[in-house]
Amino acid sequence: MIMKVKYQGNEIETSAVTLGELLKERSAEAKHAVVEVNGDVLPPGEGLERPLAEGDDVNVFRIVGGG
Amino acid sequence: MNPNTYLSERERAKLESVRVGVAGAGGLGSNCAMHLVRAGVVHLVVADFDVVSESNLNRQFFFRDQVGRPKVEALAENLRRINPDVDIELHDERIGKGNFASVFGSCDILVEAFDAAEAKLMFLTEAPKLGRPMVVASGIAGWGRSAAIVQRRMGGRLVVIGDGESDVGTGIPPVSPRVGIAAAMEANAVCALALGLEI
Repeated sequence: MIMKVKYQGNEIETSAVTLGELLKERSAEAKHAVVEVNGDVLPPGEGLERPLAEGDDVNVFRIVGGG
Repeated sequence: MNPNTYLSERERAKLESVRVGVAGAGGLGSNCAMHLVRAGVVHLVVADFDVVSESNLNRQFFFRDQVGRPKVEALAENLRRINPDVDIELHDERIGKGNFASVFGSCDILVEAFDAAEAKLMFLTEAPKLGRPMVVASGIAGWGRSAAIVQRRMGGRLVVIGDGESDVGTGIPPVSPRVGIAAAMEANAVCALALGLEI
């Protein structure tokens, strides 16, 4: 089943069933990123089993080294 | 006396009432703390386990005669040269899951200023548990592309600063101008949060 979600501000179509599958599809490394779903921030690598719903708004910020 | 003589009474009261936790006293943390103290923040909690080394002098707020000294101690000394009255709680220790809450539990705003990606990820796991506003940096290495360093609000309490790409792990060095931009942006976000302004 294909559904529409918002990813990094853009509307996209995905066949992913869970948040983790969506991130994989988009080549986002979930364990090294902050992920925000519908305004909620998930700790790195957590909540990936969450089922995706039509219209979900997903934002990802990659965490890399340096300081 | 507050070094920021431009503050209104209201601004001074707000900045002087906030306690800011700075996790890491390297390129991000030392410069961010410097900006905070110059801006008028007077209560800080700073943690870092490292000592000042020669290679830090390309970007960190330390001086050559401080090489070999614990970073938190050297930073406190430098910050007191800006404001002798600044109240700084120092933690010369590695921060992790076990001590995060006890070190930063008293803070009103938290700044992630670690170097290693793993430490940044630990911060993002532990800091939200304290329920305070948080400012995090990721993607600050290299030269040029100043405007690629952006700030993004995520959720109600998190501000992320950086380009989300430039990783020191890929051999790109962390250098003063670009690290300094991110450190200043972290401090700017903290001040805006403390003053109740748009970040």
